[in-house]
Amino acid sequence: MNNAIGISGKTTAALLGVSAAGFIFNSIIYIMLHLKINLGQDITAFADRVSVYVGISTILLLLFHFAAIATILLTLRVAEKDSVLQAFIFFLSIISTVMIAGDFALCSDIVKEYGAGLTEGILSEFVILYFSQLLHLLFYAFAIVLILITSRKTLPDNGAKNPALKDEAIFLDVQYVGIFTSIMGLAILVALSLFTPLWAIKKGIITLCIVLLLPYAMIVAYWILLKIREKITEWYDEKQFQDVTKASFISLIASMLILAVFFLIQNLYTRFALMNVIWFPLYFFMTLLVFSSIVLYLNKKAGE
Amino acid sequence: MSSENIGNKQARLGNNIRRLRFDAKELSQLELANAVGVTRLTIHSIETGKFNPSVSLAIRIAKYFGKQVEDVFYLYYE
Repeated sequence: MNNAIGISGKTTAALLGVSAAGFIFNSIIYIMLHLKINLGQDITAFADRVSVYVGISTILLLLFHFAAIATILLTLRVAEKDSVLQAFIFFLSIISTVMIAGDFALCSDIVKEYGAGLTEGILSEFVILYFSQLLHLLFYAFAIVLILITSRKTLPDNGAKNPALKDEAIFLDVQYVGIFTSIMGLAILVALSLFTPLWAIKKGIITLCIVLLLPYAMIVAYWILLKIREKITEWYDEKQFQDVTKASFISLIASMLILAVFFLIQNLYTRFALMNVIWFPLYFFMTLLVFSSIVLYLNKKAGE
Repeated sequence: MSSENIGNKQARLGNNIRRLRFDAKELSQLELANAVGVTRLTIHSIETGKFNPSVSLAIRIAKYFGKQVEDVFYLYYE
């Protein structure tokens, strides 16, 4: 396992350097595209000229992200202690990967819309594109931290001499990712409610929720993959089982309260149509936040 | 501390795991956890009285140290 982490870490480090150049190139192209649009210039020839290079850079960026995700998953597998930092890097890696596909789609949309004379929504598309670049930049910074962690882990004297047979680190990391995912989900839902027209929310809410849920879904899938060889009754040890049971009970009570509030809002404010569109994701992220926080709290409290 | 009400007094489950680990050449919580198939945190929670183990786990821990369950776990009232 240590060997796999070493190889994966080195591949990530090598791809980091190459893809960083691609990332900078793409960012410059996006800025140039924005400037040309602002000046009202024709962008067809420019787009044709750079599209192949942007495509190659995007592939490099994707490869780097995949290598980083593999390294994070391998590192989580052998971690002796839970780590907020590693859980956050995992969360960021998934969001950043999804945003790469988003960048590509946004760029194509911008070029097509501008070509068709539809300039109304282009500014907001550029805002998302720049935000996405910021996310990638943040991920690059954390990827350096990840590479440092993995290089430390693969030092010969620093290996786990007595690894835990019954994991607790990844169990807790799942809860951290649950908290990050739900907080981000709630923040984006609130932002959408405030700044986006209802028709646009209706159009994109399902896709958006699937994307928002990806980090949590992926780490849960990974945890299940690690557990699949064990009997289902042994997936949790008895203390974890007790914590999950308590958290489930509190989440059930909390979810009823949350739904009661939604029910009242829908009935008392009949013109509040937004709730009809976002009630389920809002409910889901709130319940996930309660569940993951309580499991984490009970675990940390017991460890004091 | 885990507790049950019996009459006016509360019965609590105490244990000698810390001492037994010490006697077993400073056996670590992780080593004991691996031997009985639980997490290190579960052993820590039992040791500090924050969690009552199941009968099965109590027997496994006692067997590991070559003791009877009553030698590892005991009830006290306060």
